[in-house]
Amino acid sequence: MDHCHCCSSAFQQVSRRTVLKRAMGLAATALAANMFPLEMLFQSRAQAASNAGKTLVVVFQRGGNDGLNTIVPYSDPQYYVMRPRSTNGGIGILPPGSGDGSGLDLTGSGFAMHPSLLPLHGLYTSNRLAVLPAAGFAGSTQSHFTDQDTIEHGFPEQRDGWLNRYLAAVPAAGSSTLRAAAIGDDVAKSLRGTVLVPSMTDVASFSFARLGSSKAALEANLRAMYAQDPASSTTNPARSSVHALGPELFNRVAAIEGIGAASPQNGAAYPNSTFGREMRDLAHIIRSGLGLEVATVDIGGWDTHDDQGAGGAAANRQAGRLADFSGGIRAFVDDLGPLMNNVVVMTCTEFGRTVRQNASGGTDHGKASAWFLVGGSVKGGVYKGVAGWPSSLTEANLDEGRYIRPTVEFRDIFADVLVKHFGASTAELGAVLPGHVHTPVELFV
Amino acid sequence: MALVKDEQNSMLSKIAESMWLRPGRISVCVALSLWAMQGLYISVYAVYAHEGGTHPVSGSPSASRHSLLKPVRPVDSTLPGVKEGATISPASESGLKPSKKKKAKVTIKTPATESQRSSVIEQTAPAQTKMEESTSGTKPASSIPFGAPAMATMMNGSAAMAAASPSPGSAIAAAAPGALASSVVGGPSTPSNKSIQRLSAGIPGLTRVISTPLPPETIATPAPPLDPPTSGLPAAPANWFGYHVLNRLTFGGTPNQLNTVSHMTAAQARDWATGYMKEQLGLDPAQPWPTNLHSASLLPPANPIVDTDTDLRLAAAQGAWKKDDPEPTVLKPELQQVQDHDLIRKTYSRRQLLEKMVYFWDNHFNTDYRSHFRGQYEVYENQAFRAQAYGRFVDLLIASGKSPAMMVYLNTDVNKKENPNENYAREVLELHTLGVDEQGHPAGYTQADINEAAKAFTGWTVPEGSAPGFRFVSSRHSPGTKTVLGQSVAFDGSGPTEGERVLQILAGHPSTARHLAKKLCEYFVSEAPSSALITEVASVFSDSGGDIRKVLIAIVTSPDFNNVANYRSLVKTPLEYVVGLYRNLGVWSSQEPIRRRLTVAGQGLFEMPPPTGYKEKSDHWLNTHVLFHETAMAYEATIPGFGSTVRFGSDTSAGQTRLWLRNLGLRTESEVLGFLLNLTTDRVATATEYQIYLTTLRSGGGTFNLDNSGTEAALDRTLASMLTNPRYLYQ
Repeated sequence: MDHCHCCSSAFQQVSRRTVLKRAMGLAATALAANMFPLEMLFQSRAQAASNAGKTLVVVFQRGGNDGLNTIVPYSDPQYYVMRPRSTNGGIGILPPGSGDGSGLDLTGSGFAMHPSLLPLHGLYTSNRLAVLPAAGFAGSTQSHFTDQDTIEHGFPEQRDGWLNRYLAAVPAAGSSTLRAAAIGDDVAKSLRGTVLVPSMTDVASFSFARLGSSKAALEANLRAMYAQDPASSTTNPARSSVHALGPELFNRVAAIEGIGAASPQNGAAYPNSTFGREMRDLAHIIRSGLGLEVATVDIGGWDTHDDQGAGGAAANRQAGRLADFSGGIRAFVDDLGPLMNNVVVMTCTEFGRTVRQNASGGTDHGKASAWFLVGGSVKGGVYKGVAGWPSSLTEANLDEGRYIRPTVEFRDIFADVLVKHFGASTAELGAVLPGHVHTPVELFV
Repeated sequence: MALVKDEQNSMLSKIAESMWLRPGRISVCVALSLWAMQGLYISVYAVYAHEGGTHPVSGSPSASRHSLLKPVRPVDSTLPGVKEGATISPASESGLKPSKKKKAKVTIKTPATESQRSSVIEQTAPAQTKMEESTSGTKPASSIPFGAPAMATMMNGSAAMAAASPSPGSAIAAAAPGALASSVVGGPSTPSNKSIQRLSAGIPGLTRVISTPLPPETIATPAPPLDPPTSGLPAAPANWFGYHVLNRLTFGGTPNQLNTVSHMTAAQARDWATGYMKEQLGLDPAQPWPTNLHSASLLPPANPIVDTDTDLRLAAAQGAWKKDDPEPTVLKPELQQVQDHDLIRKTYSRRQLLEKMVYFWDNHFNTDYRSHFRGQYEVYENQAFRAQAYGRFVDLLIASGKSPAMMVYLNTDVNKKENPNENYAREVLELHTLGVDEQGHPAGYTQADINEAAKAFTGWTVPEGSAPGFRFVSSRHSPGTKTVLGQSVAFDGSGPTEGERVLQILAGHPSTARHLAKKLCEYFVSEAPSSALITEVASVFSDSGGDIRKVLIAIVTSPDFNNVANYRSLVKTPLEYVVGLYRNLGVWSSQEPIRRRLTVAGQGLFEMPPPTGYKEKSDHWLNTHVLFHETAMAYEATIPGFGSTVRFGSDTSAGQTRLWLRNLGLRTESEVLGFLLNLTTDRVATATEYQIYLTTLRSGGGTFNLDNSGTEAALDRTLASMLTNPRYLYQ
């Protein structure tokens, strides 16, 4: 790897400060050895943190995925009352073994997967995929934006992201060039807060190389302008965040320029979609050893108020999104191969949808929905929560007569990941999810 | 320097005006536009007027009536296959014969050139016009001339909408042609003298020749030289208010505007900016601000601003729009064409505040092209917002709710009585009207209101076929009385009035006034507007019945807007950054670079999937991804080879900045820096920044000399550095 670009003085300065602030540890890579004075690399923590080499990828299904047609309670006849079978004109997913468009059985659970989740079904049968059919939280509002914020902030009253609080509370186990990244047009709210986290799309084009002979002078000018004391250059209220951003940009560009283009391994076949490319880039960044610990990726298109469709010949909006979603995750898992032992992918969505389908072949905003985890030491299986899945989807068993009631709280899922995957201490957990009493979901071995 | 007089080249607008709004008639105005690069090309501008009251947005045509409408849509497309100078009679294709010739004078003046010479061309330009009754006998209810190319046409279409609207107070500013804009600002672009002479020589009936692209505007005397500033925090310039108004009420000052302001004293700048604001709001600059903001009494009708040059650019862009298949009477622009059309307006329109408001409304009532894949739906809706941008909020809300783009996007088109679809009902409450509080809780509505409102909207849908419009299907409409926000809405199975009534109830709720007031204050004044300002603006909103022009007057005359503490205090969105860059430099080449950049930066027009629309607040845009693309846009505009070619400067400078500056009479370092810093950061720089620019300026060969060829690259890097200064992120 060629890291000449990153060795400008401003880059070293920022990185050094970052390293010191996070009380850095060992894990001296060749990259770090090039960039940092040796003595800094040996200011290790007493023992290696269990977040060493670990990565969490949070995939957010924006729009409210219909959990009921994702993980389908086909053994409940009432499901087909609320949602007639697709062969009868409804959006009900057919039971396993009913021909075209049948669900994929999650053997022994009474549930089946939407047929478009085929790429994930193999992960389930090999006991690697955790399925939570009724994840959510009490007090959800059925507003996309409010409920997304609650999940990403951890609580309605918090104003910064739970993942950003993690970055602030828990030091990195080693030096990292890119500890966190939001893949997308902007920084996901879960990653916003006191720690500056970069956002990026399309790793291959994140470069200023085409500036040619002007690059050095322009970068030097830009860094010098951003390096001025914000308070003596402008009165703008956003000046501090603005001034941090310029050097951050050039540092990140240098890091990304250094790893080249993605080259998927193990025959991984990513969907030809934005989500597919973003998952491919993420796998590339993880494999390139930049120290990526937390990343977010978004996938949209879940707000299926109409033409939601079912499976097979009845496929429509949701089936296409699920195919992209499951194909991207499966390719990512295949691509990373054994590296997945240190990587957890968790999927979220702000809410599920109304149990009864509406008159336009869709579903409206609901409450609990299906979340997934795969990788690391995640235990495969279906997690129905302590309260369990309703015996039958009659109105009497539903929340307000129309919604799936959440049985696994999302904060408990977060806490399981923090404790079991990142090895967070009780104090650290308290800093990330203040006031939350952790009821373990036991998602990990 | 004198500027082109608009009244002299407003031929199109005058013709349109002369025959506009004749009930039940189709008006067809034919003009010819030709441009040099691709041979000759003929565009047909068709203008479609109709009787008031049947407009699909503000009126309520029945389903059966709409079903008759498809065949009678006007020919309003550029006819294919007429390049290479073919003579064609578009009127005959639409069954109309030219009956009358009209003469119009076109006065064209060259931009500032090396020799500072100017010339005037006068042409006699016959325009074929004809008015005729609709031959089918069917009233054209889908009347917005979404396929009509010129702004003049669109603005008149807007006037039709306003006239058809139930609200007399919704008459819009800048809707009718004929009035003069200030001679100080926003000079129109002028074509190359030679190309006009060459092309016009052999072409009878030539109306106007434009080259592709239009060359730059004439600019006022360049800003004065700027000497090195003293160290420390730079103060706002004395004439800051002139810059402030350009920064906030436009998509960025043009070289002409910025040069003009640069020579002003504080008092002159305030007078000029105040006049500019009044003019942009359709008010008489000679009169004091209106004092009846807190009442339902009407403001004087808005004086229009004529902008023929933008009309011509729009017409040229629209020439490439394809006819729909299988409905050739409908023009179906691709997404990129819709985006370019809108970016042309944002970049060049003289009605800058109107366009700022059109963006505000299009974003407030966000729809996504990819929910319907019909460019004509987005154009139609965009024009409805342009028509009502200064009108009453309730009219905007109804225009949005009944627009086909919104009906498909939020599923109104499939909302049926059996089990109503809640999508639109929820978002109209949460996003378009009452909103949510700081904790994200509904500001005065419940799930029951959503359910009831959803029932009231059942039966609303889009017309059959691909033409934009509205249709009501009574068999889908939910029976019974609905109750929304405690008010009962009586059953009406025969039309869309229940849904309209619901929208009126929402528009009149105090939470709506506050929600809109806050959002507008964040857009124009400050990320954290004072509660006093929000309260005052919300009060004007309520007291005036949602009169947006009054609301805007309340904002721009508020102490907060006029406080220097809010000068350059907002962070630009990517849209404001890239369009502002184009305007600040006077870019006259294609919109394609900024259109592509916006999409990859995450603010592509008409393609925001969630109904929130794009955020205004800086925390959504201050990130590495956005800064990467803004920085890359600055480099693309200035550094050869980094991206596509972006042209600014004079059209005689052959893309050479040093020739442009020399032609402007700029020689010394302080003259060049004074001029360039005026285009980018209102002449504000720290001593450190000034030194960086100076060093960069001298990097072409040790000393600065415009005659030195190495100075070109040095100038490119200097300008790139100004545009990538964090200071340039603010407005």
